[in-house]
Amino acid sequence: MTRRLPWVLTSVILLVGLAVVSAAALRLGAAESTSEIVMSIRAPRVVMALVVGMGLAVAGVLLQGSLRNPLADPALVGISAGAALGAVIAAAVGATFGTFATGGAATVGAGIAMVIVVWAATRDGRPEIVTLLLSGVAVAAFAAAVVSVIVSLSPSAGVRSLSFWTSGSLALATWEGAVTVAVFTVAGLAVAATVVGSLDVLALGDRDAAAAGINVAGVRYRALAAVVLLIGAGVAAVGVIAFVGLVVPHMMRIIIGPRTGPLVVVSGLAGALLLLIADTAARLAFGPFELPVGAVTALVGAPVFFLLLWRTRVSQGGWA
Amino acid sequence: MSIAAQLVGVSVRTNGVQRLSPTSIEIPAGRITAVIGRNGSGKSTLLSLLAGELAPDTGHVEIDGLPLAGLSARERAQRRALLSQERHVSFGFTVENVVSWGRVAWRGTPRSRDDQSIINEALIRHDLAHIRQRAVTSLSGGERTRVHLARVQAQQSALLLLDEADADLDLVTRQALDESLREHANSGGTVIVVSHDVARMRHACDDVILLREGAALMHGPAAEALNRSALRDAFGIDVPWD
Repeated sequence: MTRRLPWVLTSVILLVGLAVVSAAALRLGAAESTSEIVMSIRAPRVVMALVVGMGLAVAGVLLQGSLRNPLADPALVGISAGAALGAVIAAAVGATFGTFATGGAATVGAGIAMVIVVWAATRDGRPEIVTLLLSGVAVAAFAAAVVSVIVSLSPSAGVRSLSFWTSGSLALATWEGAVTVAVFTVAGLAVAATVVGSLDVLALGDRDAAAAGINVAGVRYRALAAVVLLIGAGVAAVGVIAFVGLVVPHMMRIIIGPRTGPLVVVSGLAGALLLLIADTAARLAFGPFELPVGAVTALVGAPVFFLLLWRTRVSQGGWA
Repeated sequence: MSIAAQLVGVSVRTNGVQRLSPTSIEIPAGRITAVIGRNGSGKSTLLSLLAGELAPDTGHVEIDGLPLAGLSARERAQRRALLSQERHVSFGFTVENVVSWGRVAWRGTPRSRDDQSIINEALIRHDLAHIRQRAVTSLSGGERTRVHLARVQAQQSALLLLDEADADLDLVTRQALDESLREHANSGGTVIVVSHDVARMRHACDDVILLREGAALMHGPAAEALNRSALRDAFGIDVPWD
């Protein structure tokens, strides 16, 4: 028998963890915990960590399920870089980071990157993973190059100060930014809710899933649209944070099993918790200096990705 | 005799190659029909047409007297199920999860009320009840085949299509497959099998469609269609039996 934990119990444990860590994150810090500091600096940062972490992890579940591959991650396939480019273009023409304008532009950028990557990797109606990851590398490199060109040439200090973008940071989180991301995240979750019941069946492969009665293309494209909505605004607010979308769904799949519905709920909570822990650690570990949270998640996530890569290669006997 | 499925003046051309010349075939209900011919003779094309995966260039395909082109993925799945060669399932879904996917075509219909009992029945019928909570990724090839057979049975479609689903099966699993196909036909269902196992098909099927270069040479009872001269026409070689 495969040993698994019931997902409701897992969710309760994660909720308790979220409550404890949130309370700690609000109280801990270099400055004294005046209500002013807690409410206007730490609280929006905590909320931002929760919604961004949730969006990243749920996006990972949807991306992996719709592409039938455990190696997919919004940052690895270039979608986050597309979002970053969209946000930077909006900022260069005068929009402020952490608003609906940059969030919307980032969502458009993520969508364009998604279309390019999926189009490049689709053969005979189904996306092929090696091409997908490689196209993601190309799209991410191109988008990052354009971002650095825009930032270098930009006269606006607002754009220039955004070197945090390359590694991802929650240090500049505001209430407006957190609410913006939350709105996009809710929209993404709403789209995701329409496909969770059907996404599991794609594990059969496109042909058998279609024969079982699933509208394969419809389910896949709606799942990918949800990914775009879950990723764009978050990137616009805090930059590119890699590996959360990869590692969290994978860990949760081991704990509760691969069914998409429960996995979305549990991964959403775990992603929120993980990013909050990572950000609190990034903030406190070397105080008064702060680490970019993206560096913390990459330090943990990159070795896990390597392990996954290796295991996948062993299980399918190579890539070619 | 009622007609389970039919091709009416159907032809298919892909990339400049004629896969199927204009063909009209009626497939009788309650019987097992084997589609036999060489690679490239149009067997898979015929099956893909019946599955609705491929749209014909001319003519049309009907299942239960309804044009397939007018049916949604769900409506098609309520009428025909497909067992392919694919045995791989991504991620560690349990045996019961996979078998339950046979029921997605009936979601939201009155028939979904019996989902759990239908799934249980399919698990028991294919000797999977004791491993229902195991991950399919941990199963042997024979066990995986039984999982997909159970899934397709749970779909409860009258028409069952098999696309070389018997390749790579050991003797025991193959016999279990043949038995469940016979059961399906005996209970009024219809089975269409694409197979390379011509010798076995003589005993396992009722009717045969013999294809050569995209054209039906013969369609009739197995005993008549699978004789020496017909097989020489289809394959260009002599078979060691008559």
